[in-house]
Amino acid sequence: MASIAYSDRADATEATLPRAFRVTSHRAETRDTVTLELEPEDGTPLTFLPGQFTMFYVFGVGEVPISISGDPHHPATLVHTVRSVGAVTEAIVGLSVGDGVGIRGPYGVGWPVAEAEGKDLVVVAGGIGLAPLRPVVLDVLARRDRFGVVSIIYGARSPGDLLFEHELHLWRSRFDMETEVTVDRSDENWFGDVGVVTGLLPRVSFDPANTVAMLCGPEIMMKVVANEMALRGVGAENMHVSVERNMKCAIGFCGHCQFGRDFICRDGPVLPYARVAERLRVSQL
Amino acid sequence: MPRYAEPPRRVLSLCDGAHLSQLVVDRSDIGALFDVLLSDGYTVMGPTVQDEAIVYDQLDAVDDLPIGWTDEQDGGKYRLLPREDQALFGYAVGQHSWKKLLFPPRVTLLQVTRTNGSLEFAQSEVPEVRYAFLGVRACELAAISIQDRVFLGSGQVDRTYQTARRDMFTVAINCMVAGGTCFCVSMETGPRCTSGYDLVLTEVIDTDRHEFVFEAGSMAGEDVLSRLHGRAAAEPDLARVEYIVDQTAASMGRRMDTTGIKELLLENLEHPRWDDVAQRCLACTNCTLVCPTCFCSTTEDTVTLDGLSSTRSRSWDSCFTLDFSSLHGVPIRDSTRSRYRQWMTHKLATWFDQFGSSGCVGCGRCITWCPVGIDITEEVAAIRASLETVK
Amino acid sequence: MNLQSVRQNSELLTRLTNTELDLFESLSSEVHVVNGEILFEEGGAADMFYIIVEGKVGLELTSPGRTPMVIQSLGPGDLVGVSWFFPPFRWNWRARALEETDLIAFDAVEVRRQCGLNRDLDLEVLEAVAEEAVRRLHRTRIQLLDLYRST
Repeated sequence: MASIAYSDRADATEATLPRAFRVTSHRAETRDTVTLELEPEDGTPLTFLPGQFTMFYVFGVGEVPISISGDPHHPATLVHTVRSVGAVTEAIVGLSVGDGVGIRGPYGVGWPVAEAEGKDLVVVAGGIGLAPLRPVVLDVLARRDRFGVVSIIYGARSPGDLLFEHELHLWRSRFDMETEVTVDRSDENWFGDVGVVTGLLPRVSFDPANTVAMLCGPEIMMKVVANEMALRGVGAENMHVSVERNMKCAIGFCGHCQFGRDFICRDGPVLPYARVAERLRVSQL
Repeated sequence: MPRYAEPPRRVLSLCDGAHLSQLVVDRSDIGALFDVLLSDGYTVMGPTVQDEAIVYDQLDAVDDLPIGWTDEQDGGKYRLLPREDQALFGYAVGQHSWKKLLFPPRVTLLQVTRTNGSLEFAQSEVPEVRYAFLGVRACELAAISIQDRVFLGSGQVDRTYQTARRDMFTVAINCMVAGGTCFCVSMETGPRCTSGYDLVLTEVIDTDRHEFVFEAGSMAGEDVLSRLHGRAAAEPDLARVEYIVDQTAASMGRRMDTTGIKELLLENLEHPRWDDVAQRCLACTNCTLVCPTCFCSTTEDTVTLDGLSSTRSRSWDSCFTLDFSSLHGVPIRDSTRSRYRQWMTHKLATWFDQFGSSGCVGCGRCITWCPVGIDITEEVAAIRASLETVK
Repeated sequence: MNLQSVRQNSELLTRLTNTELDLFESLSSEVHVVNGEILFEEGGAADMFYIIVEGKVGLELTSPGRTPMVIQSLGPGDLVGVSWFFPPFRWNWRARALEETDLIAFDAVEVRRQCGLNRDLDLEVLEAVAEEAVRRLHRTRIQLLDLYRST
């Protein structure tokens, strides 16, 4: 299957005008997270690259950046996995099938999937961080022969907070990919791993000298995992993190998303760890 | 040497080596400048006295200018003083900058209408404006050039800025007065205007004469100049212009050593000076409001009472506010210290990485209008000095 | 039994010289447990310690009125238990197999006695166990941060 064509940057007029989308499916993943499927009113699919996000608008409430969690090879349906953490996301999580919303995008620099071709790939996700990485996994599985050893490590707060449970089972049952899942705290019915994601790194086999790592989750988690991978010999330039910041315009004008020299909306959200490692150590940057 | 963005195309057409017309216009004939600009359909914007300050507003005639006024500026201090002469442009800059016209404080972006749960989005019209800016200082030309880079030159184009900028006519001024907080010489942005204008003038005022030495900077400027009444500029006139500019350059109120400033700041993000300035800073956002290059904004959605439509507007915002960096309801830059550091390191350091030049033009507004008189030149000097003692 | 195959995955065994590895081998035996089987109980004497070859073991605490819950799981190459090396040589946790698991069991009493006789061996084992304890402390602290909760 061909790799995805990069969607052109919108010009000034389109960049700030949302497109009308309608919710076609609503599935609760956990008690605070839902996966929505949306379709454009005008029928034009929103093509995207793994790691990109849209600005999701709910009438009367506001607009927030949300990572796209769908299959980049099937963009006709726009998929967003959203966690309720504020006024707008709470409204998004409360949407019903048939509701109209505004979507603009896609924006941002996505995961360097092409860079991982011919190499081993390690995907480490923490909490809601699995959502922006899911498109990577789907893209890689659609072209599995292009990649070396593929491993996924996923950590969630508790068994009840696991995302994409059905898909996780499918991934775990594959022989061409290693999927390790852990939780910070277990419950009576959990017989899986308990502990932080770094504890799972020794379980997966990858050649540190020939690996691309993609990390997404809370900043502390990404730092800890990056350090651990560095100890194992993975170079900082081969590790990529997804940084989150406040966004208003998503096109590099409003200034809110600045992280040092980078505008997260435009230079990120995916950034090479080598570029941001020092900045991640500065408090309140 | 800071690099500036390309000026709008029509200004470039004459600048490459062609001979630029010069004209000396007498004070009694300067009103014609207004006549020409107004008859050409421009809205003339320029300095005028309002509420005991010199602000930028619409001008109808020469008399609207701050004739015979000058300003006295220092950290946290601004006042107007009468001059001994009747100069039209004998002052520095006030709290307004031209960004209020090119990047207005509030702009309507789009309208949303809701019908049966379905949404429709419509882009708002950008008002057509045709501005003539009268009295743009060299530091301000640099600031406009910097904002050109932000709003026109970094991938996306801002429609409002583009529309206002496209048909703009610029009458620049070589400053005859250096403000108490000015440091354009340090930032290499002035006081001499070198590019980015249609016309530049230097006011020459003695007991026996009051004239304006004009120089064109574009085809449009040539055209306007050809319709003014004056005499050809002679060597003494040009020498006088140089003299005035040199005098202004020699009397700057402040200076900033910009040697290695990017590394100086970015390698000292935990310097104790940040704690020091945080004790004084009120996070009042004045500096970002008056700074001619600050461009941060926010968007707001306002719903009508019947809940059937909503308007999105863009307004000026400031990195000094607590919720500017809010993520999931929690600010990342929680302390005043981190916010002051963000502003200063952006302005003087990371701006280079983003836009290829410093973000500061040395206009001194942030010093003048800071209620507690925090001086950006002093902050830089303090960090530099502390490190030099360590060495 | 031959520890060479397990050695590369185990921090502790990697540190031992070949002679010391031979000693450990003489004090070891293979153990196989099924899902749910208890390796050792909380409070019990730490007379044996284990290295996992294949499978998963969970550490848990029991408390009246509460169902025991695993607070940390261990996998291939991991040392099950560090308390066997430090007085009072009693387990603080219960270890329970979470799936079919193969382990190497070591006679902790004899290893301690050998460490008492041989200073170099003592130091090596101490370093390995301490390093493991620090790593677990670090990971536990991150777990405590509860990073994935909503703010």
